[in-house]
Amino acid sequence: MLGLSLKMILKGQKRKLPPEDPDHTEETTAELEGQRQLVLYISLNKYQHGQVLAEPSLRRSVLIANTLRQITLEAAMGKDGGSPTPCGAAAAVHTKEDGCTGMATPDRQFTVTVHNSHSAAASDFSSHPDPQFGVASSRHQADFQVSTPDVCIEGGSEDWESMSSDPDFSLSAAISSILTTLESSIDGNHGGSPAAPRTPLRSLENLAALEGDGASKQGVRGPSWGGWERGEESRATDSCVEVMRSSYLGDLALDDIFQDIDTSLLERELGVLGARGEGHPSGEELLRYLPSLSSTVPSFSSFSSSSSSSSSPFLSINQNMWCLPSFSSFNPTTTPSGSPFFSSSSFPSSSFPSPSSSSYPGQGLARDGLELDHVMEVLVES
Amino acid sequence: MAGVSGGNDFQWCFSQVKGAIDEDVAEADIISTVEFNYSGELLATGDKGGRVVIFQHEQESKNRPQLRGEYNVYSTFQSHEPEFDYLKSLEIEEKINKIRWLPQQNSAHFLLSTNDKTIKLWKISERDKRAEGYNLKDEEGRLRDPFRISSLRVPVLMPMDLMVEASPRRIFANAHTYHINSISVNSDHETYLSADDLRINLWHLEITDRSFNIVDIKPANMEELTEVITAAECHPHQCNVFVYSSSKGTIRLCDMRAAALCDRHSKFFEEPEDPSSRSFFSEIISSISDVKFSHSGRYMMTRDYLSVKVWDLNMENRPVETYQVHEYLRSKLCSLYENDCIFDKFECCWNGSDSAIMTGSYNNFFRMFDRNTRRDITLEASRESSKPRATLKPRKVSTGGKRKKDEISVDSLDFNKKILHTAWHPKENVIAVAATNNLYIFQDKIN
Repeated sequence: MLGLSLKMILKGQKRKLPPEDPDHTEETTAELEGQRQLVLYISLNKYQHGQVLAEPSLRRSVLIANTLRQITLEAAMGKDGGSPTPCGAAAAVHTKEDGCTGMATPDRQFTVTVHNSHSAAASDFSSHPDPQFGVASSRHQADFQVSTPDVCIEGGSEDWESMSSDPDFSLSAAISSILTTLESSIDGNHGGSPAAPRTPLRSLENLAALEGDGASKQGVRGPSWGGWERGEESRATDSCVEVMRSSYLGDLALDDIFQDIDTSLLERELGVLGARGEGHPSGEELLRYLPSLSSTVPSFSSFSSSSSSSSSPFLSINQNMWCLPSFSSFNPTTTPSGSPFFSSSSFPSSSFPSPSSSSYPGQGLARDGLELDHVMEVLVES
Repeated sequence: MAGVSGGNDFQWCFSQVKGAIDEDVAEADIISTVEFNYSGELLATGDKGGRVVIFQHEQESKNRPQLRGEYNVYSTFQSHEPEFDYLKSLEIEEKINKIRWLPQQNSAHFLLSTNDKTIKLWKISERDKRAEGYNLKDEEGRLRDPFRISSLRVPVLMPMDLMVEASPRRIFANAHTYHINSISVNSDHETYLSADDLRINLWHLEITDRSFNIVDIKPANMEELTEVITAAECHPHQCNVFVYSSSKGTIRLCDMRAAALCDRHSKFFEEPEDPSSRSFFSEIISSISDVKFSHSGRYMMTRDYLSVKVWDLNMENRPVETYQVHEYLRSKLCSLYENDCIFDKFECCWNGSDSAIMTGSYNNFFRMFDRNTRRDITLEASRESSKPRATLKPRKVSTGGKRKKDEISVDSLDFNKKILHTAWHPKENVIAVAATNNLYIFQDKIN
């Protein structure tokens, strides 16, 4: 099984650790990671059920959201900064869990995530293993395994590196969706200033302008969209990402630019999005989130082109979530001023689905259809 | 302690308990706030059902001087009713979040009570005389035929049974979008502040149709919200100074003379985090649930989840004293997070002379700390130890593996029995402890 093969791969690196005392460190790490998973799971659950609370408490919601963000941040930091570590951790986890609960091998996601967060784990938590907690965590991990979205790596033959990043990736996406729901409910509950309402029609207008200017693929990002202008130097690197900033259309436009579009796949993608009930994740938020994960090449997406590799994370996120909350505060990259395609006001940096947008599903689907038609027209013309 | 130097230990004795004995606690009966008035003669409680019950201290009996005098019900009234916000489709709870007394200026008593959205000023007055001998109506109140009146008389005041009336004098509404967590009467006795999660408003007691917003921490973009206001209080002597605490463990002291909008603090109190005890829950447990100035006005006390800290207003970088309330819970934080207990907001209070502080815990335990001797004690508010004048036995929670006799282990603690609200008489050693739906009153044994 994948887990075992991972274990074997990880084992090979065990020799980095001092042989005298590998176990304590690994166990502590494993516990830390276990705790992280547990806290994450609990937090997500709190959000999903928190909305039905009779007395929604802003303080409680904010504290839980901050905890979630902290966990995500540490997970991301651990993933970026950590060198491949001890396998032994995973192995220790296996034996520990098995020993504790007699469960089957813990799910692969746990194993992988242990590795990822190792570097951050050391700073996370007090080093007092709590036996009571340890048992609880095993129990909860069983639950966690069952109820989280499909975090497991697809395809056992994939490269280990990419696989290891996936669970965090989708996990973070799941967090984002929960945080999104939270924020919109806080907003709705407390009548906070609504986020600038998205104006989806604007994207159609811009597409019309695009056609009107006889825009070629280059022209899409050309100076005619002065308001969304970005530095030339950054355009090249972020162009594909920038394009994706717009909603579901982003990936369509991207494909339009770079390759022949496979409409069957496109329609399926739209179908997925429509089914989610939330047609358009905030492209800007998404954009900010992506660079930190741009190195990953997950295999979620059915698009196989390598040139659109950065679109894959986008699409995979799409499958799992709606909109992202302001992770921007954690991402050092600054917010680009605007998309070459769409007016920045359509997707303001602070954009967040207003509560009303969550009731969009029908409209979203209709709009999807409209814009798909437009894109098709663009394709035909170009 | 009031009138006694801190050297002696107290002997706290049970005095009274108010409330039903049933195991089944009605949600509406859960006490949500407790407050003595300035003289200590009156003790007010608010509950989740929106009711206010005021107890009055009976005069000490000459025959039994050892009994300090009991608190008996003085007045009961419905302060707030449940409301429905039609715009947001949300119910507004009638639960009384806070009661604050106004200093007494005449024979009537005034208090402010608040739920999540509306503050009300109540006048509690006594009526023990009744006018008799009206000219235009008879004793039953029926109008008399004016043509049959042949002489005029002056009505006479006759004694009657004491009647305590509570009437709402002011209603301060529609000023808070978020849930009000604090109200505090200013030392000028003319204004008071009310604080919700994101804003603090300053009111004049006479004016109900508008208030000044003096603090607003709402970000332009709600998604960037990471910190909320958890408590606020006016300085006891300086009417221009107030403090507010946040969910991130910080306290800001503001001076209203500096600017109309006090978003910029004058002082910022925060203790640097101890990196060795960092955990996922560090922020949650650092969230301050209560802040109280000392009577002297020189110190303030903050309560976070595991500890109580005393701050010197002149030193911002760390508290001068820290007391651990229930450190044994630190290793249980994950479970407490799961069952939401980690979000419980405990209050704290000073004694009259600022030499001792008190706060609540779980299992109906409450803790007292003597600032001079550094001694602390854990007591329990329970029916079992509720024999008249019975001395309370100190309780202990065992943290290690070996549990001594009479100790209770951490895992046996009942986390549903939490003491969130306590109050200390401003002049005497009498304390009121709210345990769910019961109000316990304890007194120090008079030697």
